[in-house]
Formats: sequence, structure tokens, C-alpha cells
Amino acid sequence: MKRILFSTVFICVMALVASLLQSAPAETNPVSFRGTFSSYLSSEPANLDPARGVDVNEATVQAKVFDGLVRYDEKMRLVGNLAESWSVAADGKEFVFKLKQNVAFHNGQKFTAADVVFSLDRLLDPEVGSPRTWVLEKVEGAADRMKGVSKVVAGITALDDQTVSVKLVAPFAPFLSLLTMPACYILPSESRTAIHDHSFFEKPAGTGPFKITERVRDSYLKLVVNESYHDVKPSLARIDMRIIPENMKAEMEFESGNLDLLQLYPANYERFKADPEFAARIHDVPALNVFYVGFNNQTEPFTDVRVRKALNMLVDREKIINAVYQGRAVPANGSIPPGISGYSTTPTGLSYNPEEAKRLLKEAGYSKARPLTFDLYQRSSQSAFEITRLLQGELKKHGVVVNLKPMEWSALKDAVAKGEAPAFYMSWFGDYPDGENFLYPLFHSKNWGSGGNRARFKNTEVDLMLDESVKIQDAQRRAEAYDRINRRVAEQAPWIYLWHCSESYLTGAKVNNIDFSPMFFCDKGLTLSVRD
Amino acid sequence: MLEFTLRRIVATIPVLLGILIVAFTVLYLIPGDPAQTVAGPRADAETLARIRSEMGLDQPLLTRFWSYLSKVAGGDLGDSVVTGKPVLESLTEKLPYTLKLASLAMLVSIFAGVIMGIVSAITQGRWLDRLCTVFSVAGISIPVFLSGLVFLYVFAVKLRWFPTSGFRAGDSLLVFVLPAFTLGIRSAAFLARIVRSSMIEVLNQDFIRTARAKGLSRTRILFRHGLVNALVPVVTVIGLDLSSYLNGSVIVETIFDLPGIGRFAMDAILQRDYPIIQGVVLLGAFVFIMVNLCIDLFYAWINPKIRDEMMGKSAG
Repeated sequence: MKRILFSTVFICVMALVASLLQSAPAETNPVSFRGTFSSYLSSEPANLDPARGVDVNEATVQAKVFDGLVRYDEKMRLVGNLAESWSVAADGKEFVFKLKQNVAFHNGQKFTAADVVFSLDRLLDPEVGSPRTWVLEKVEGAADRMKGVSKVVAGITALDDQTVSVKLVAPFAPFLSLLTMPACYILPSESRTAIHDHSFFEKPAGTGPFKITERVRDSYLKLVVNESYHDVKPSLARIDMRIIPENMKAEMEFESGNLDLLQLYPANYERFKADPEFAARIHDVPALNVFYVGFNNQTEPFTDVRVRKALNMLVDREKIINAVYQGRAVPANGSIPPGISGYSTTPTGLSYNPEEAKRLLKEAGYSKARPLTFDLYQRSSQSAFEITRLLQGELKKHGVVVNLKPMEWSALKDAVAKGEAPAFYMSWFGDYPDGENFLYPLFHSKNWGSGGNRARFKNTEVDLMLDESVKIQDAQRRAEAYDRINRRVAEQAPWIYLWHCSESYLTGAKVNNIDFSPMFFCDKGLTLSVRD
Repeated sequence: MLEFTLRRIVATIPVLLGILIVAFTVLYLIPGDPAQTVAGPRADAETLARIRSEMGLDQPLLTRFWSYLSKVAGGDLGDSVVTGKPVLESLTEKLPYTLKLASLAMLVSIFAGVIMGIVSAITQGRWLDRLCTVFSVAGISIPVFLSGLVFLYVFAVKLRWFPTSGFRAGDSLLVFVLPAFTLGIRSAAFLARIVRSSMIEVLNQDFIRTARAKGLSRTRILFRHGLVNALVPVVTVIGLDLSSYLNGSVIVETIFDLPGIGRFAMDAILQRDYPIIQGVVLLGAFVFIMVNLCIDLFYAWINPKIRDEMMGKSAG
């Protein structure tokens, strides 16, 4: 009897302690989660597996469900996420991350250094077949892991439960930027079996601010706040993400109050801007991109630098920007967009100059009797035609004949990757805000074709400058080096550099606060708030 | 009759095989590479080659075809190369949406089409007939993407009678009403024209005059003698429409956010997700053949003359 009494009392005391412990964080954290933010994606996120995701829609969801070691906040400052702090060795080759304690995955598993090692190793595991192995290719032992020679990545080790060390083969200053990418998000190592057979990714559990509660493929995802989130606490209770591929449909849903966010395009921008109900809620956000006409630098007539330069000088960028984007774009001075390290603030010698262009074309042997003629490959979409038809018209005025070759997106990518397209209208969207991301993949000869260097540009000096620039630890000096490289590439005019476009969004009336950043697709929804 | 049915079912196998060969060859010939979709915008040649070999795309065409065939024979349609999800699983997930849409649209189409056709035929040349003609012409010539958006705007956004999509409506059939109307009205317009001309032709036949002379009631003449005989060409059209609806309507599914077969196929085509495209083609062909078989059986049921012919053939 005594024993029963004792156990009853003991259980009651324990229950009391447990309830006190549970309520304690709620007292210190007065945040209450309110409201539902209704947004949409333009296509079903094919892969929520961070190692396999490559597009914006996938990143939009992943960023809310998972965390990385570090992240960019809404002001584009690099801050710790799962890492509490970190240090970089003097030679720039080792990064040591001190991890946050008391962090749990949505499935209850405690987060430790083992999860970091597991997730980063997984990216390089040949069995996973990640297309994003390049993100960690500079880590010591990455090559052996990718080839299957080694079962572990020598350079990624857990020093203890809360500390991880990552060693690189050579100093690579933008490495922390790369770690913010979805590819480096952290997965729960105890779910490795489900991760291996992909069933985990139907409704993956990360450590992120939101959990997926419902998912109907090609229709919608419902996310609910992770109340015990370890970083800045979100203020939202829920996020609904619908899959709406048709822009017109999205517009209608927005106007009937079913969506709190609408992405605007040149085609519908003016209509909303002219409506006083909406005009004040339009946000134009500079984005990480560059639009260009790429030349295949290895085929005629683009093997001649005079032709490439002349074509740059025949395009009046301001005029086209005003006609199509009503000023919501900045003419490109090379490939690096403004606001990113290495942006060239002064012209790179390829500005509109038809007189000089004509001289160069004449020198290259073109005349009225023998006009410069080429095929311009493009996507067969309205937004592409808007630009290419204007370009075609502008160049025709100066005697250059452009034949437009519209193609469906997959076919276009294929033609460009194989070098079959002599010239192509395309764009590049950055993965992280560092000048390296707008130079190395685009112009280093290592990335020929599908690697990003679609122009098949090859210049040993530029290669060397690029390899050296990433070793510079000092941010200011590195930015100067990028600027020099940007100018050196522009001297060779491998593209017609066009412009950097803003992205425009319209927010619903009940949105209180929304912070757009140039990398809005990686936003975690922490500062987002809506009225009920 | 049973033997006829069985023979028709067995005969589908070579047809399906032929369709698969065509689909396989076409996919092989068109440009575009699923490995590029998987790899994203920054993948070097090595990564692409690795992904291609994982997908088995580096194998010769014949090897690929053979391994696909042996899988299909075992009831496995393969896995999506982009998501890794089994094709069969995805198809069974999407099929209910398409089935509901197709059956509701058929209902709209048969109901509206047959009634309009009959009304037109008996009021031939008068204002009601003209009204039906105007409706038919409009129904046929207005493209689905326009009528769909107009319906959506008027009935869902402005009047709010129906949900704009299935998102908040759950499993309610209400979601399917507007898309079914959009899809159904078009074939209703076609049907109305066919029922009208077919009815007029039948109503001018001698046996109708005899029936009238016998003193049969107007309704009995119209339905028992007129409509049944006018139905044969109508059933063909209904069957063709039904099989095309069962293969999914890309535009309607996109406008109304229905995660059905049509949108699934379209996305797969744009991403060059070969196993899904082949799965959808296979399913489509199978549905088409089965619907046609049902129509043939239906003919036999409504027209004993055809039944005798079938029996004669199957016996011979």
C-alpha cells in the first residue's frame, strides 16, 4: 500500500515538473503564431530532397522546412542558422562550426553533429547521384567519395556532438555562401532508411520554421509553424502553398482574395500599377540575375571578337528596358549584378555606340552587300519574344540580319549544351550573392556547355585569375579582383550583356510585413506576418 | 458475344505494342534530355553523363525498349526519372480526378446535347432550332481556355457560386462542376448537331410515317422509333469524346487546378520524363481501345442487325 502511495506521489510530482518544464519556454517566449499566408508555386516541387532539388519552387519549400549551418537573412547578411558560431583557419582551409544545442527535427530526433556529417556526406555519395556535388567539390576527400574510392569524406568530421570541422583542399573564400544553398540543408541521420528509399521526402522532416502537414501532388502543400523553432521565431501560424501553373489563374485567385502574394510580369504589371487599389502594394525587388544573348564563341561568325563587340554596341539597352520593363531593370556592365561583390560601377566599354560598331563590322568584312546574319535561338514564350523581336528590329536598323529560332525549353537547353546554337537568348540566376557565382560557372573553361559556360568561352588568363580570386580572404580585395575579371571578360565580349531585371510582387491587403530579398526564393518566412 | 469480346481484348495487345514502339521512337528522336532537368543549370558533362547512365539513357535504344517491355509485362511501368516515384502509383493518384471530370463532362454533354438535338429536329427551321444552332456554333468555336476562364471569372470569382479550385473544397464534387461544364458544353454542341441531323433523317423515313398512320403517340414515335434509330452515329461521337476526356484535358485541368492525368502528362513531356510519358500513352491507348469495345457492344445491344453480324463474324 505504502509502495503504491509512494509511486502515485512520485508520478504526480514528475508530471508537475514535466508540465512546468514544458510551459517554461512559453513564458520566456511570448510569441503567438497567427494567421495563414496563402502563396503559390508555378509548378509542383519535383524533389524536396535537398541533394536533388535544382529549381526555385523546390527551394521555396525546402527553405521553410530545412535549415543549413548558415543562412542569408532578409537583409542579405550571412548569419548562423544551425551553427551558433564558426571560425575560419588563418590559411582559409578549415571551417569549424559550433552547433546550437537543444534543436530537434520535426520528427522529434535531436540534432547533433552526426546529422551535419551525414547530410554533407550524402551530397557527395555516388549512390545518391546528386547533381549538386559541385557545391562541396572543394572539400578535402570529396573527389575520392564521389568516385566511390572512399566511404567517407575525409574533410568533414564531427569533433564532438556539437562541433563540426570542414577542411578544404585549397582556400575558397565564398565557401560559407555555398553552405547557405538548399543542397547543404541538414537531414535527420536517424531517418537514413526512409531517406535512402525516398519515402522520407514525401513530407520531409527538417529543423526548419515550418512543417509540412498535408501534401497533394500537383495541387497543394500545407505548412504549419514549428513552435519550438530555434532561430528567430516566425509570427505566422500557417503557410498554404498551392500549385498554380497558369499566371492568369493566379491573378484571378489573387483578385478573389485567395492568395496573399502574386508575382507580376511585364504583361500584367501595368494593369495592377494603374489600379489605385493595388499600386501601393507592388514591390519591385532587385534580383540576382543577368539576361544575355550568348554567342557560341567557337563557331563562325562569333570567333571574331570584333563581331561580338560590335553587336554589344548596337544594342540600346536603356531603350529596350524602358519599352519592356518600364525601367525595372539595370543595363548590364558585365555579368555581375549590382549589389553583389565585384559589380563594375563604371562602363566596361560595351555601351551603345553604333558608330564604333559599324567601324568594327566593316573591319571584320561585313557590309550592306554582305550583311552579318545569324540564328538566334530562344525559348518560344511570350516573354522571350518580347525581347528578341525588339533586338531583331534594333539590329536590322544597322544592317544585321537576325533569324529567330524559337524552341521549347528542353530542346533549347539541349541545343545550347551541345553547342548547336550559334547565339541564344538566356538568363542566369545566381545561387548565392557572391561575384564568384556570376563569373566562375559562366566563363571558366572547366564549365563548358551544360556546366554554365554555355558560350564556350575559353581564356587561360581569365581561368587563372578566377582560380586565384577565390583564395583571397579579404572581402574588399576579393571584390576588386572580381571587378577586374569582369572587365577582362567583357573585353572579349563573349555575350551581348543585356540587363539585370527586378522581380515584382503584389501583396494582399492582409499582409502586415513581408521582407523581400534578392533571394526571396530562399526566404524562411521568419519576418512574414499577416492579419487574421 | 463472349468470344467476340475476348477476341477484341486479346487483339489489343499487338495494338498496344505498336503504340509503345511509336512512342519510344518519337521520344528517342525529339531533342531534349531528361538528365538536364534533373541536373539543373549548373551541371558539368561528367555529372550529366553519370545521371544519364543512372537513368539508363546511355543504353542502346533496343536494350532500353526490351527492358521496358519486360518490366511492363510484369506490371511495372517504371519510375519517374525526375522524382523517382513509381509511374503506376502516380497514375492511380491522378486517375480519380480525371475520371470524375470525364464522367461529369460526359453527363453534361449527353444531357444537353441530346435534348438540344431533339428540340432542334422537331422544331426544324423555327426560332428554337435557330437558337440551338447559335448555341452549337458558339460552343464549337469558342476555345476551351477562353470559356474556362470566363466561367471561372463569372461563377467563381464574381458570383462565388463555385470554388475556384479544389484547394479549400476538399473532396466535394462542386469543384468539378465548372470544369465539367467547360469541357462538356463543347461536345454537347457537337452532339446537338449530330443528333439533329440524324433525327431529321430518321423522322423522314417510311417506318415513322407508318407508325404515325398506326396512330402511335408522338412521344413513343419520337423516342422508341426515332431516337433509338438515330443513336448509332451519336454513340460513336460520345465514345470518341469519352476516350479523349479519360486521357485528361490539359487546358481544363490547368485552368481549374485539377491534378489529373492531362497536366501530369504535359509536365512530363516538358521535362522529357520518358517513363511517365510512356505510361500515360499506354494508359491512354488502353482506355481508347476499351471504350471503343464498349461502343461496339452497345451498338450490338441497340441494333440486333449489327449483333447478328458480329456473331456471324465471331463464329466464322
